[in-house]
Amino acid sequence: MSDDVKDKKTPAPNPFNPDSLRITGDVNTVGAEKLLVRLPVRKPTKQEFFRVHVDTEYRLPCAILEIKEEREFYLVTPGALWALAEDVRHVELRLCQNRQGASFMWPVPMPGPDGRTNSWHESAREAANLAENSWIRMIAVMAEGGYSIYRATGAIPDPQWPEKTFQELLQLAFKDGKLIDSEGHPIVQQLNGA
Amino acid sequence: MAPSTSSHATNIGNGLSRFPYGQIWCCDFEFHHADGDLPVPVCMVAKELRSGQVIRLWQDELRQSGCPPFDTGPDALFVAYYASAEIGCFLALGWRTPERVLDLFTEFRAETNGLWVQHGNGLLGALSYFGLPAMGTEEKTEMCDLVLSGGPWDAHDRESILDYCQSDVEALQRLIPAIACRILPEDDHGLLRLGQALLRGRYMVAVAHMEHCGVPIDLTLLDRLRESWGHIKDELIMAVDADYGVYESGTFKMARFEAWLIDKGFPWPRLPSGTLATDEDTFRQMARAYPAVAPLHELRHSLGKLKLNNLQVGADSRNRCLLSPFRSKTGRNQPSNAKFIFGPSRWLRGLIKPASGYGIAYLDFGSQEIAIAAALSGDEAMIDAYTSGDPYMTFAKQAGLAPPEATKESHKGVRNRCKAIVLGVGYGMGAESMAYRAGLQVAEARELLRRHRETYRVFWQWAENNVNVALAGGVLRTVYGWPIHTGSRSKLNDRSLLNFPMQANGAEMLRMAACMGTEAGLRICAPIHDALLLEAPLERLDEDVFHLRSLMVKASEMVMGTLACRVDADLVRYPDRYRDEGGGEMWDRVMKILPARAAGVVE
Repeated sequence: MSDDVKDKKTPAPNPFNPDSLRITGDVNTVGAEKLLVRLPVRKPTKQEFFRVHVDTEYRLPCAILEIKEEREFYLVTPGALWALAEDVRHVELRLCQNRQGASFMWPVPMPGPDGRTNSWHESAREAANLAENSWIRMIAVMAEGGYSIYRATGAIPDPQWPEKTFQELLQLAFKDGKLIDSEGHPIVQQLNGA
Repeated sequence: MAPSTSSHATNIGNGLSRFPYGQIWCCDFEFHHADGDLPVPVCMVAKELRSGQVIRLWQDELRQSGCPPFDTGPDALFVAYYASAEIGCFLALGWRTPERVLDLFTEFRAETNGLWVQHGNGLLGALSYFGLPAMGTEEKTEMCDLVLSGGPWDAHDRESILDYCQSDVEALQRLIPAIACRILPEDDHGLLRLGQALLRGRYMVAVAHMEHCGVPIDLTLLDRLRESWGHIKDELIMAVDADYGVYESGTFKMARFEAWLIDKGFPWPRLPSGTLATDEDTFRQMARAYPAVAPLHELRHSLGKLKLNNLQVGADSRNRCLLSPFRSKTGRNQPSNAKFIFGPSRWLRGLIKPASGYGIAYLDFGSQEIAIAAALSGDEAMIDAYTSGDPYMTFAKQAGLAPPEATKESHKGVRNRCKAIVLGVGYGMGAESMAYRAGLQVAEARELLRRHRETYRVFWQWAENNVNVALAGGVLRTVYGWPIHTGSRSKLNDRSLLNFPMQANGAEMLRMAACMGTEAGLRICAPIHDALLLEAPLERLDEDVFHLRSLMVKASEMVMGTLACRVDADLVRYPDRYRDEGGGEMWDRVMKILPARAAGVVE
C-alpha cells in the first residue's frame, strides 16, 4: 500500500479504547439563549409567588396612565403630565419575577401628590417590600379591604434577573408607543375627545 | 433532503483514501435458519477494495476453513451491512471475529436518525437514499427465497446464489464512499467520527455473540402451553374476570368495564369521542398506577397480542431472534415483541429457566436515567439525590415535601408521588401523563413537576439547552456520538429531544457493557432495555456476576465521567425459573390451569 493511500500521520482509531472517542461537551456547541423581547406591565396575579428586585437602580417613581378596557399601561413623562393630570396614577415601577422565571414590571401604587392613600395601596406596597427578600403571593380580600399576603416557606432559589439595565427594561415595557411625552400623543388626543 | 448522486460522485474518489487501514474487506454471507436456531451459512463473498481481490466460498469450503480467509486484525477494516448477521455466521463457523468493524447499516441509521426515510433502512433503502444503483426488489426477494429454501442447490443455483451474494458486496462498495464522507469529514483530524462508527461496529459483534447465545427456555413447558393455549385462554377469562365482571361470553364489554371503574373510583383516559381508551399503552400505564388493573391488562394482552407460536425458540431450547440494534431513535435495541421472550407479556418470562447445572442473572443499571441526567448536567442536588441511594425520597426532602428525617416507610405516599415525577421526567413525560401513571390529580402532578424544576434548576437548564442545541444545530449527540437529527423531515417534539440524552446515553452505557462482557468471554444471553441477562455454570455464577457487574459499573463511568451507576443483580439457579415481578400472578394462574389440562381434567 502506498503512503498516499494510508495516512501515516493520524493513528487509526481504536474502538477498544473508547476514552479517546468520548465527546466532552465541545461538540454540541450550537445552542440558544432565551431573549427578553417583551416585558409585561401588570400587577402580580393571585396564583403566583413573586419577587421584587431589591436594587434601588431597578425602581422608578413615575406617573402612569391605565386604559382599563385595553388592559394597557402608558408611561407619562413629567412634560406631558399636565395634559393628563386627572387620569394618571402615581406609582413606583418595580421589576418582578415569578417562580416560572417570567419577569414583569409592577406599577406599585404610591400616595398621590396630596399624600392620600388607602388600605389597598398600603397592603400592596407592603407586599412589594416583603417580596424584596421573600417569595410573596398577594390575594385581594374584600372583607379585609386590602391584600392578604402569603410568604413561601422553605428554601426556594432566588430569581435569575434579566441581564439588562433598568433603562433597557423600561424601553421593553413601554415600547410600541406606550410612552406619552407630549399632548400630541394619540392616547391624549383620544381622551380629550379629539 | 437526500443528497444527489452528482454531489457524491466527487466524494467517492476521495472516500476510501482516508481510511487508515491497509485492507478494506466488504463481506456478505447468505445463510438460512429455522426460527430460533443458529444460522447455517450457505456461502460468503468478500472483496478487498484496494486490490480488487474477490473471495467466493460455498458452504462446504466455509466449513472446511477453520478461520476467516482474509485478515481480520487491526489493520483490516471489515465492512458489512447489518454486520451482526455476518458475525453470526463467523460464530457459527467457529471463526475469530474481526477487530475493526464498519457497519454501513448503523452508519446509515446514524445519518438519518430522526428523519423520515422514504425506502426504509435496508441496503436497498440506503442505496436509494444516496441515489446509487441497486438490484430490483423482486429479484432480491426471489434470490432470498432460493437461499432460505435450505437447498439442495444444483450447480446453477450455486453460481446464482454466489453471484447474488457478490452483488450485495458490490452494493457495499458503492455505498461506502457515501458513508465515508460522513464519518471521515475533512475537518475531523482526530478521526473521532470514524472511531465512534467503529465503536458501533464493535457492538454489532457483541450483538452477534448475544444472538448466538440466546435465552434458555423451558421448551417442554412451552410446547404444553402451545398445545393447550386455546382452552387456557377460556379458563383464564373465567379466572381473571371473576374479580372484574367485564367479559360476556368471552368478549370484553366496554359498559361493564366502565361500571367497574366507577365502582373502584379509578379515573381513566378517554378518547376525543368520549369512549374509554383501551389501547395497550393506556392499559400499561394505568396498570402501573393502579395495580388492581394489572391482571386485567395481562389477560387482555395474552388474549389479543400473544401468539405463542411466534416466540422463536430453537431446537436447543434457546430463544433467539434479531435483537434489532440501533432500531429505536435512542439507539436502543428494538427486538420483535412477539419473537423475544422479554416482550410485553411479562408472565411469559416464567418460561426462562437455566439448564441443568447452570444459573442465570439479570443485572440492571439502577435508576440509570436519573444517574445520567445528574452526571451529564452536573446538577449537584440531583447527584446528591442519586448517590443517596433513594433519589425519590431525597427529592421529596430537597423539595420540602418531606422532613429531613422522613424514610421510605414513614412517608411512603409522598415518596411514591415523587417517584412518579422523577421517573416521568426521565422518560420525558408531561404532567398529564405523570398524573395518569401515578394516579395523581393533574394539578398535583404540575405542582410536583414545578418543584422538580426548582429543585434541579441546573438539570433543567442543561436539558432545555439540549433541545436548543438540537433545534438550532440540527443534531444532538450522545457522548459517543449517536446522533438525532432535527429538521423539516423530522417529527420530533421538544419532549423527545429533552428525553434523548438520558435514553440514548443509557443505550451507549448498555452497549459498552455488552461489548466488554462478551469480549471477556461471559455468556450474555440478551440485552433488555437497561439490563443484561447472564448465564454461567452454577459453580461460576457468583464469580461471573461479580465480573459483569464490575464491567457494567465501568461502562457507566465511561459514559458519565465521574459518577458510577449502581448495578443490581437477581440470580436464578437451576432448577428454579425466572419470575417477573409484574407477571407472577398471571403465571401462577396459568400454571394452575395447565396441569389440569394436561391431565385431561378440564375439557
